[in-house]
Amino acid sequence: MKKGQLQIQETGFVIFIVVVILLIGFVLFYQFQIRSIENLNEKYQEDKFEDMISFVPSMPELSYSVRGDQKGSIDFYKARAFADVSDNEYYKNLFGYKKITLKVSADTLVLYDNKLSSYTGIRKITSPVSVYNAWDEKYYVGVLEVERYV
Amino acid sequence: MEKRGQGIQFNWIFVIVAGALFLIFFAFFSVRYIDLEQSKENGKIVRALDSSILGAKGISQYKVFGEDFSDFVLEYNCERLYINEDQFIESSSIIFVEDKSEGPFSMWSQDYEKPYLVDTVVYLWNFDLKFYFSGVSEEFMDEIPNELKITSEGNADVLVYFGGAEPNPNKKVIAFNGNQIWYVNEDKYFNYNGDNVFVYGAMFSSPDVFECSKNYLEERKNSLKELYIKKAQYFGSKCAEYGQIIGALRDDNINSIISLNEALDNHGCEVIY
Repeated sequence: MKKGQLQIQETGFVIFIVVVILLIGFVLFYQFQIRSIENLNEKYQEDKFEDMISFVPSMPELSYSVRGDQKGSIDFYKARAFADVSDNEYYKNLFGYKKITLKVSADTLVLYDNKLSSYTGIRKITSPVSVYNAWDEKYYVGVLEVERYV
Repeated sequence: MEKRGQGIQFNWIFVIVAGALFLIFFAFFSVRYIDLEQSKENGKIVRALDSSILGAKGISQYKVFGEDFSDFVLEYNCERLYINEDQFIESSSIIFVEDKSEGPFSMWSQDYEKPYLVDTVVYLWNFDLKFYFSGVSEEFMDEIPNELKITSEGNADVLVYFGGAEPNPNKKVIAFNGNQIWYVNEDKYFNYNGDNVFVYGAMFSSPDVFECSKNYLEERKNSLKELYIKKAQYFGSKCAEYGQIIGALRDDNINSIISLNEALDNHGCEVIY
């Protein structure tokens, strides 16, 4: 092989390596960017899940109202009734794969439960809530739990 | 001399091929980079839209969404909101919107009460859309936000008739007759109970979206009805009105529900809603 041919082969090889390195760099950069977009979406979903703890007690299905005027508490008897009617498509679309539980005094009400068949873990958030019991006309401190199957 | 000439020629070919390779790589990189940036922007828009919808559900209101973003197309299939056929979000709200429309959007939220609160529905429509109304009641017009653009029949994009209507291929035409909503161009009919929420819903949404949002709303109303019936049953022994209000709830008799709920309150009994 002549010296000139060898030089050309060498240069060609260098260019090939540079292109491969650039391609690897590009693939890594692309993956990183895609991951960062996915992370933003996951973070938003996580924030939405955490917001559920304030959204759930204000739903018309649970909130205590007098003549349509919201009182800022959970109505214990609406919550009890909701536990019986929540197993339908509408609420499955609204809440997804979650479990919502209300604990007040000695009572534990599972308001909603839709298990993900192959869940690997549970994310849980809890919050104290005011619960009105219309039977004895008293307010109690309860705990609302929202669990997400992941 | 001949060999030297061949060498120079080969060098040029080599330089052109190597240059072309680099050029293709950087062109490809630039295109993908622009796509990624657009994808990021789409994600930002869809998250902002979802937050804006959730915010609108807090209280009945009118607002504009998307003026700060570059041109974007929103698609809705009753489960997901897509921006520019790319980023999406699962929506948990009841929304009336065209299945595909361009931003920016007018957003109006309104409580749906039967007479208890069922949900706060959200209407979305292109900010520039102009509407024409024919044969509408004063009460209907009073409810509409002042910001809704109303114009003559010839200049409008959406024609709304209470009564008969003719198809018009260049405009959206909706007609309300008795208990029916008619998408005139598509020749699709839907039954409705006379509630204005469904009239507005039809104005702002395509038939498929209207149908599923209407079904969601009715499903939630029926769940709440069951819930209030159960609540009344728990307290059944305390006051006579509970038995009557169960009947009124079952019949969707709004006036009776209101008066019996007031009667419960006046008699010192627990109200239903």
